Amino acid sequence: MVERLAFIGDIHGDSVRLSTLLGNIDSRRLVFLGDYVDHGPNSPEVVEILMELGNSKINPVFLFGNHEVGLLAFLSGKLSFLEYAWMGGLSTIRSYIGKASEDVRSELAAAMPRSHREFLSNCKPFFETDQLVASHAGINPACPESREFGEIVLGRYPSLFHGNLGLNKLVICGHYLQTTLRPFAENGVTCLNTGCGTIEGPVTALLYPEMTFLQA
Amino acid sequence: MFTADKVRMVVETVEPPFTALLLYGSHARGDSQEASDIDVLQVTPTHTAPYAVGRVNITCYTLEQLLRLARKGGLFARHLVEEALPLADPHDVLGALKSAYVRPLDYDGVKKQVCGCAPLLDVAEAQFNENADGLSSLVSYLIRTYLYATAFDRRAKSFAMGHVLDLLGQQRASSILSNVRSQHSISAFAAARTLFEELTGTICQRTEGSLEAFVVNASAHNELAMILGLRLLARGRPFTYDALLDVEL
Repeated sequence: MVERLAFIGDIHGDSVRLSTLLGNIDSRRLVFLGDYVDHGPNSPEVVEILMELGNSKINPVFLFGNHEVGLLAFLSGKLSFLEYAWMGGLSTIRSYIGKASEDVRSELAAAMPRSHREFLSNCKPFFETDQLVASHAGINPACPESREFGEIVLGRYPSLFHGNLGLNKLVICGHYLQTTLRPFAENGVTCLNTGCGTIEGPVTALLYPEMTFLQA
Repeated sequence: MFTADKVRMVVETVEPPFTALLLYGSHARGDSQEASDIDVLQVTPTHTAPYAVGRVNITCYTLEQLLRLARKGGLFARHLVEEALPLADPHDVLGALKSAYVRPLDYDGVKKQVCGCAPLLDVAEAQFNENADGLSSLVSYLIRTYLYATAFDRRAKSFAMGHVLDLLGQQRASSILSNVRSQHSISAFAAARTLFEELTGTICQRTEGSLEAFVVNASAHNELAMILGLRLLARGRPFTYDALLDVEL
């Protein structure tokens, strides 16, 4: 029997839309496709909500997005302030520390609960069954069997949407902004980044195996 | 008079691709001096950095960016809508801009954002020397934007700086702006900063201990200060923060 799942696309700090969406999903396992933080107004609240879900019985899956990687890299000094700001990290910094005074990186590290950092560090790169593979950036069309972190979390493959992947599985991803605010679902690829937290779009869930969508 | 030869020279100067080329500034108005630069807007299919070839300054925007600026009623959009001339515009981009442009009731918001940038100019000589080009360009941009915003709130008729300064009784700004743009020296910068303080009634003092901290705090309420602060931090390195591309420089 196929497990009933709900895949949830990019959230980007919009805790209000996330809460509304979660209230509309029936009891099933949740798979989050990453990009919980940055851009939107309340990344800490989003992380709190996800951590709370992680403590429940539904055994949710939390995948990495490039923005979780960016935040962790900024905290560890591997990413500069400028690079993290470029990614949309200013709102995350602000929502954790309130008013900055000097050394932004140190102030963020001090203000961010250890539990949040651990939660983000423990995300998974992908989720895969016999029928589907889910990751933030999808798969590399030139190498569809690869599950390299740099490809499936941090990569960018617009050709993913052109079909002919040569993979006998459904690919489910976020990452690629759908400016129509509607999910993309063609050619064996489903993309759920509908602009939540970035262009005032909704957060989108794919109910599987029904292949129906919910938005909030 | 912008002759056919000059049009051909500009079209041959720009680096393709482009969907439209518009002339703006003094050459478009017909009040250029011999030493005046030629200001050209290149409408590009993708985000492209501005560049200069000789005395031709080429600013690049995508059509989507321009339409967004026009809908927001920005000063640069107004400049184009009221004064630009098409050099090559087969798809009538200028017409689309004119249709999309919404004139704001006033420029109070622009002036407020410019005033909020004052702390960016709080630099000692050693810091200035690390980024003389960027800081000279910044103070010039802030002064010009404030002058334009003030002048158009007083029914200015064109973007000719001479006309704006006459209208506002600020003729002294002409040499200060000219010096800071040509010299990039600490003395020219300091004079321009003093002018900025006098015009805006602000003090160029940053309370945060770092530019990064200022950018974080400004990002909550002043997009212009955030973007210009990030530009200073970038110091001319390739930097493609999306919001940067919407700033009118």
